Amino acid sequence: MSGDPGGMETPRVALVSGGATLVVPARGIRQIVPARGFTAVPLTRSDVIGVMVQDRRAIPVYRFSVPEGGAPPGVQDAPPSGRDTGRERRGGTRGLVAILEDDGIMAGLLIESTETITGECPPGVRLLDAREILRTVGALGQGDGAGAGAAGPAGGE
Amino acid sequence: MMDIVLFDIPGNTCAMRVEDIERILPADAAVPDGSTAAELEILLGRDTVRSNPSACRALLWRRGIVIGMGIPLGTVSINPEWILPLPGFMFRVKDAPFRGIIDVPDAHRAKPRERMAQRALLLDAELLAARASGHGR
Repeated sequence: MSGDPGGMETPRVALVSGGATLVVPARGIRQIVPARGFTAVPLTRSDVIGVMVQDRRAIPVYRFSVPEGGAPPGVQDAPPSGRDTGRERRGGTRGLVAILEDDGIMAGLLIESTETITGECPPGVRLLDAREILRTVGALGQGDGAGAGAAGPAGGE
Repeated sequence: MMDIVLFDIPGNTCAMRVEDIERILPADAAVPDGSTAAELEILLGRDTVRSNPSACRALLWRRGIVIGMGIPLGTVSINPEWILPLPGFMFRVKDAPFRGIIDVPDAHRAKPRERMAQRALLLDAELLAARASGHGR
């Protein structure tokens, strides 16, 4: 599914992570929980911070970082100011994990804050679905279909 | 129930099924003839071994592999349902040698041994032996 540049009728959440803002439909976010209780696991990809256990599932938690050369298309490379009346800040402190799910693939994204967006997306930002974000952080390889990432590494030695 | 042995290496508690271990040896014991020796920390991707010098070695059952395992913490019986699989996509290697991570239910965490197993990484002896065969030293 590609982005929805308008998305006025879709409940959306802005995730501020690693100095960037990613806007995702609320339905793509399974939970937002405090970032605690990570277990470091050896041999993981470099962007995996650790694993957290939530609802009897081991969920890898990723950090998002803006790559050199700027944010990927559709991702704002600076946090929103929160001054727009259409956004309601729900977080504001560091240390949350947004658990994203796409067709059975579940991964956490370490975020600093979240905001509900009720109006238009900020300029330069388009709606990303959970799959796009999971691909961006590396939980799904480019071109993977749903579920393909569960069978093996997204890339490796 | 499943009997496991817990080992402590810097940064992690690891576990292995008792049935996967033939013998646990002192760190300074001679490696049995014909065995391949390896260090768990190296097999798990670390550059150096940071384990305590008093760490022990485990001879894997019928595999001819002796692995420096870190500090033994003891044995504990766990319910196999407490083992949560780790998704393959999070790893940078194809066959990460883990059966899963142990999540002890709240009702069992009051017991010291079970609490010790909480969040331990259960090793897969077969995949570990395969890595040791390629990384033995």
